Amino acid sequence: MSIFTEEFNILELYTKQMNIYGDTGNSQILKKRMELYSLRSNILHYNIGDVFPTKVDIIVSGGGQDSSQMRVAEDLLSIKDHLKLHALNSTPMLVVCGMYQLFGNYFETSTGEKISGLSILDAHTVAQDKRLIGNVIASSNTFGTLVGYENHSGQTTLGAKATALAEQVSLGYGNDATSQTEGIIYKNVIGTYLHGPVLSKNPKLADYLINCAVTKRMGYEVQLTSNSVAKLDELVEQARKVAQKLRR
Amino acid sequence: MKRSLSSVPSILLGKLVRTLLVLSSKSSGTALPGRVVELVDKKFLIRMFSKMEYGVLLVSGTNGKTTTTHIITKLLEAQGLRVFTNRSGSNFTRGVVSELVHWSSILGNPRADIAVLELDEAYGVHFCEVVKPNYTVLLNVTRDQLDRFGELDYTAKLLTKIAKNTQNALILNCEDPHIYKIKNEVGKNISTSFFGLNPKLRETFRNDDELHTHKVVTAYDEDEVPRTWEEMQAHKPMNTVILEDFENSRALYTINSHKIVADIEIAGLHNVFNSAAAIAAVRAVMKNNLKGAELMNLLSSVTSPFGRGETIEVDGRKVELVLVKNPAGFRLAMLSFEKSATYSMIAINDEYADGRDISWLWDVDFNILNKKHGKSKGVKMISGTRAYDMALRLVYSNVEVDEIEPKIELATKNFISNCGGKTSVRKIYCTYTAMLKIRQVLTNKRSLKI
Ligand SMILES: [Zn+2]
Repeated sequence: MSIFTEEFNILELYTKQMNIYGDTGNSQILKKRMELYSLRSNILHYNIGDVFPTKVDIIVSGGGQDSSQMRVAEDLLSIKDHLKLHALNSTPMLVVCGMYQLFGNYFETSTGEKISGLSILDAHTVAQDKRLIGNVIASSNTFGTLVGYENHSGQTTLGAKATALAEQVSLGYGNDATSQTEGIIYKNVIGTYLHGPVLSKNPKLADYLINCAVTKRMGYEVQLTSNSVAKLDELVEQARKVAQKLRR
Repeated sequence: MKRSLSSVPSILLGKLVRTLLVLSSKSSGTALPGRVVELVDKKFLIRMFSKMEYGVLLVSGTNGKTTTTHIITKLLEAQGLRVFTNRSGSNFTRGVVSELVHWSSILGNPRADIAVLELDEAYGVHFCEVVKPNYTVLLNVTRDQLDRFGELDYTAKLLTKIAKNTQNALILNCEDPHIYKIKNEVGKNISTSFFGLNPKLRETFRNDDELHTHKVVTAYDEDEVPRTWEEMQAHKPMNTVILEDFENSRALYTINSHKIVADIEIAGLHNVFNSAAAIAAVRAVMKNNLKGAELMNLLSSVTSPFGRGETIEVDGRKVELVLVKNPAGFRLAMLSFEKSATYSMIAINDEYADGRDISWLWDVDFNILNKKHGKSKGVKMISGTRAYDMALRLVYSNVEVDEIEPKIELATKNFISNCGGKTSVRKIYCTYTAMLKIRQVLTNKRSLKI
């Protein structure tokens, strides 16, 4: 079993419904970085009504319209057990915006209706009139400064024992308008409101997901380095610099 | 008599303010006179528009408003109508009022038979509270304004409100599911016509929802409606314009049962489809009293409006500016590559007018810019406030980037000087504020030392 001949599978959930802000960029970024680390990978898709694939190393999913989110919530019930098992078995996952909400305990709509979530993440979301839109800068003890863009009407409250992805939001809102926290991390599942291609300017998150996947598959931890990744990350650093000077 | 005279004081006031402004500064002062008139006379707009024989035709949707408004205006003018139209950018009542003041006789009578107005979704709703449009053309709902409107469904709701306020006729894009559904929301007293595509062209003109699926899903899949022209004709016996085929700038349309070929001189692939919208609109206004061939001859005489897909020449070197603001538009712009080798520059700003959120760039397939594919000479320059984000996007999909220079002025100059000789084809894909800046750099030839 060689690390260089293994094929890692990145599973993208609901590409059609949950990709309103270029969220599919995340799987492209994971694949490219793995390629630069000389790791082989495939991007797999799971859409409404499909059969859940058997060999999955990383799971990613994004945000959608309220209306499509409803249809997805329904279909999610059919793959609930797969996803729960993956979470428990430490499969790395990145769930953004709408899918972050659906991974929580429940989502309460503006009319007071409660849609139950997968309860993988200890958090719940309540729709609010004020939409939180704009650039976000947040600092995380584990991942350093995170930069991105948010656009959501649901505000998320973490459970008492849950761990936020970023403890301090300095620009924008993150989980909600008051707590100043952003996202959640539980085992290897990352939930975040930094939507779209969040990994493009936050490569530490990308490498975390890749490392988790490698460790799980190979049974050992490995420090991944690559000259071409280092070169790419110089460009990332420039983009981050710009993002850190942004207004909302 | 009383009615027509009541505009006089506001007109005089508006003209006075305009004159004073012109005298006091060199600016044309578009907004202020309108603001004054609006404050003094809120019914001004209704009165002026109601005096126009054909009333108001409103164009809304996300992509193609300016060009479609422009084509409709030109076609109606060619029918002998005097057309009042708002210049792109004066999207607010104030802007419209200002222009109207300028267009009115001193007695408060408009010197126009119809107003053709381009309004965005949010402003269109606001406008409809004051003026009920006679005709409304709804083009599409795309994702580029999510940072303003939040969601596509919300944007579609705004357009539905505009449709419900329309008095005579609706002209709808039957390829856009959000737009097509609006037909079910309006009363039977309104006549509805459509513009659409031959099924084989849907692959080319994909909407935002279809960028990541292998299957093209249009309005027809979600809503059981006719798929072919024949079926559609059975359903909708009149008022449908279909773009059947095109080759370079020649396009084949079916207008009801007539098939007609026309030259479309307006640069950009999407404009062969925008022209279908314009034809449907003009037919609605002229109550179909138009011969197809006549209309087509007219189409070939319409050229690009200011600032959209324009070609600027600097010291004999041509550069084409292409406005990009959402995935579907960017994709089409790249597909309309000339047959010759093209050097590209991309400039992405994130001001309010550009859209603050640049995530959408990840929904664009940039493969066509790869030197290995087609006629691309590669991306020579990336610029704008979000130059590095754009560069990352390309690098992640294996498209080489030669140079990154966030400062637009320097980037533009270097791009033009370093990319081949006078015969080279150069394209700059740019967001709105980037385009304004580039225009400024290019038209000020003296500062461009090449
Ligand atoms: Zn979002």
